[in-house]
Amino acid sequence: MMPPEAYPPEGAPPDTLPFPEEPDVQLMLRLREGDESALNELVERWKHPLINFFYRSVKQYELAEDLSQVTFVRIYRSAPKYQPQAKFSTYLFHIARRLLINEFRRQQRKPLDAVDPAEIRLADDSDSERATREIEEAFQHALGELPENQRTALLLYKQQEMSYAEIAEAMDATESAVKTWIFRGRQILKQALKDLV
Amino acid sequence: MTVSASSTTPPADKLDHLLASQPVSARDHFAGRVRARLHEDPAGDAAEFWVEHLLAETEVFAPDDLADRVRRRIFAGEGVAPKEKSVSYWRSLLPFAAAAGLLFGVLSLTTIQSEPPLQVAAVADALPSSFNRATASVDNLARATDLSASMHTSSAARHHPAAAAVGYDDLAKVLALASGLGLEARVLLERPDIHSWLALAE
Repeated sequence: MMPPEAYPPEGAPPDTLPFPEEPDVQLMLRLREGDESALNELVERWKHPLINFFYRSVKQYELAEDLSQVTFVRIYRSAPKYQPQAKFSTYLFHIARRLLINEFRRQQRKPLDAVDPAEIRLADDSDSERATREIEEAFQHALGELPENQRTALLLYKQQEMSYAEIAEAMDATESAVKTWIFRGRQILKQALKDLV
Repeated sequence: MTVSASSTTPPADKLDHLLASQPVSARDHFAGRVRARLHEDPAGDAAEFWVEHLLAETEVFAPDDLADRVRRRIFAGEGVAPKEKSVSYWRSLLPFAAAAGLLFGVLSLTTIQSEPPLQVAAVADALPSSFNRATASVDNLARATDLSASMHTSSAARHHPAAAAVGYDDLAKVLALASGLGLEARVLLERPDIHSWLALAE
């Protein structure tokens, strides 16, 4: 993610940074300088978006939380070398996506998907609740079937409200590729829900 | 999956159902935006509405102590990449490792073989031949060495309970080392510090 050349030059004043006003960048700079409390603030600010992103991607809450924790651990470990090249959200979700891809690879090596019995719910809901749940399940299934780049681009765009340019940077892709992924992903999801609504 | 009876329900009613099933925080946060959208386009594509809504709205629980959990993992050393050492670095350690291994082996041996006590010089003399023989197969070594009754064939050596801990390749080294030291292979195999002994045959 980081280009090889160091920017800004060592010792440059904060107001020359590309995103000096962004509170998250300031927190990362504090963390880089050894202010450990900045990590707590970053976790508090980003835990919900991050867990939500992972949850939609992996469909298991415990795993989503675990991946979120690991993301913050990576953030902490990389802080000494942090250079504010982009918005913090771009940086954060770049790391999150790498972890997600690693997790998918790990799951491919372990095809048996054990289901926690506690997660199996009995169908004792009302009709409307059941209908809503069916739509949600169909959506989640269709989302899970999307190629990783389409799903991640869609989630970053809609759930995290990131711009095409930010998503492109987070995913090491071009903006046109991101737009294509989002368009195709949406079409597939709409098709999957068409018979249910 | 069954098709629900809601296929004729207008989008606005579906929205009410949906919002009723969402956590309060999600409702407060998103309801206005979704209502405005449906207001603008009351006959809009219901599938599209759901996709847009479900993509945008996920409200899962995030633990209050997540920062503490992250910190525990950091303090546990998670996420620290192991430092890579160069080949030359490890090579430079070899003489020290060999000397330390030999000394450790002799000292350990004296605790299990008190009669007669082994001398460092005697072990050092015995080792070169055993190293050469470590390259031979287990079968040849077993035939060539005078092992104990339970270890007199390679098959027996392989099936010794302790053999699994060292693996087939290292078994040859064990046999060679035992032969060079005048010991039964079993004595070495059954030692908990067998891997330290194997360092001698490296």
